[in-house]
Amino acid sequence: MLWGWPSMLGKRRKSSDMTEAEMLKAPERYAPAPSRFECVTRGGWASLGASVIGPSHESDSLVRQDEFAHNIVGDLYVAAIADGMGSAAFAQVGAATCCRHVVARIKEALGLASSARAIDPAASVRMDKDAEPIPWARVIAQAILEVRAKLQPTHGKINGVTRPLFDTTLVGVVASPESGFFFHVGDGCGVAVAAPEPGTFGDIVISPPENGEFSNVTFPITMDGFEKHLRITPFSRANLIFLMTDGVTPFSLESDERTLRPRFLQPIDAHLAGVRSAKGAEKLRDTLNSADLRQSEGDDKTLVWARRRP
Amino acid sequence: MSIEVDGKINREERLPCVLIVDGSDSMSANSDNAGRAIDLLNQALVVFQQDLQSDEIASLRVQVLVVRVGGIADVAADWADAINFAAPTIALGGGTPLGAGIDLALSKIDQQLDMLKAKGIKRKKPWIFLMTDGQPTDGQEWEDAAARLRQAQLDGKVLAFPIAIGSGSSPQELKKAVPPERPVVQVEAAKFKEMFKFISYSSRSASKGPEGAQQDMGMWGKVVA
Repeated sequence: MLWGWPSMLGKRRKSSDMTEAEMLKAPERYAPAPSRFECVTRGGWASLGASVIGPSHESDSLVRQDEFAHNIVGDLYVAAIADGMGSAAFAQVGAATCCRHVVARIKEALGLASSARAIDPAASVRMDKDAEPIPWARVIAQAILEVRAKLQPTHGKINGVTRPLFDTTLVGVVASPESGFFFHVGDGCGVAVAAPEPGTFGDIVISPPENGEFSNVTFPITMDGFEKHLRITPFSRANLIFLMTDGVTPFSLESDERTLRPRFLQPIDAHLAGVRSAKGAEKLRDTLNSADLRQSEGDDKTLVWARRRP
Repeated sequence: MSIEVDGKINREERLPCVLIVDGSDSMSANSDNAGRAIDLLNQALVVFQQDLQSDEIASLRVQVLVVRVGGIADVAADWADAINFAAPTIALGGGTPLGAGIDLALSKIDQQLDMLKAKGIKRKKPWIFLMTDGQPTDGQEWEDAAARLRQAQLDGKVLAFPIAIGSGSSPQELKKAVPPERPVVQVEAAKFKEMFKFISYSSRSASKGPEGAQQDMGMWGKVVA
């Protein structure tokens, strides 16, 4: 509505409301809210996401550098989270641009997909109405290449020192009622579960973090040769999905980073399955901001929960 | 209000502790009418687990790895915080490739220290308990590995505790794996439970105290080399 548009009222818009073009033009001005939560429900899916700034970023006067995006097209679900790396000057811009663009491009492809029942990463889909079908893995790589094109130049001088500007990791998912896959560059984690009963987990597929020699070294989508680190992990018959950044993985995964810790994701699922609304997403945010989690882990924390009704 | 979850991560300073245990054929021998040495060892490992887990703080600080030597050297129980440690059942079979066991232990320690460092978790100097009832059977590999373990101690990287089981063991061989001032202790298999309680007690104390803190070995063994 025209009258409600802040600029028409002479008010300066919050930096957290900047458009992508504005954000990329003046990345130093973009400051996302310290936390956000969001709920999307459509068809059988409910997707609740929350992202909060970590206490160590607060004490360093930094902004939240995690972001998430999610959408539902008919019976198909797409979501992505991105963790802007602390070494990058405008990591929050990299993270926001990355997950929003990737989700938007996959949403377009899902709208053109021929099957709404099964997602096979080896199958081909069109990214645009007039484009030739290409395999899903190439769709993902192409979407990332488009993000990289937006995030140029990759390095710049900040206070006389050359630094990376937009480095970010990415974990995403594309899912149908019958199958799906994770796409993943760097750390963070994706978990797909067959869980007809809320809070009770059956078969589990994990897309684990990929770190360098040390766990605080990982691989951003902005690095040369990112394709070598793009991992596609298929799953089937999962009706419950989690995506999380590395601020949440220590609570979700055992130290082997291949198995789930008890009493973290299960109670979250048991609670959110009964809510499926913005109130649930708000509670998810409060959980990520709880004293125990803040004291145990200083990093930003982002978690997306999605569940499909049978 | 938040959802009730387990939001506490164990960031306690760790004491990595490796048990290299003997599963070779000779462990089938009876010990002082108390039963087969291998059975006594397996019972003692359970006592070790229970004793460690009875200590709320140590169960979060002590990390345990069990390496079995018997025919080959393999991991019988991979690294776990004591609170999650499950005593393995050591199977019988084969010779005593103690050198391969040492190399496996040193390699697993390196990996674990890297992991702890990467996670920003402090740690104490790792401990290695080296136990055998016989002679190492891997010849030059033993000699080389023993030298590596001795050097690792001289470099301050690990602490090793060689334990010779029964009268058929060779303390002088085990002595090759430690600096001159560090003793080799002999124990009868019948005293395994007391020994593992001692190991548990020592690691519990060391996990809370200064590096290298040790307790009196009491009644379970004697210094032989």
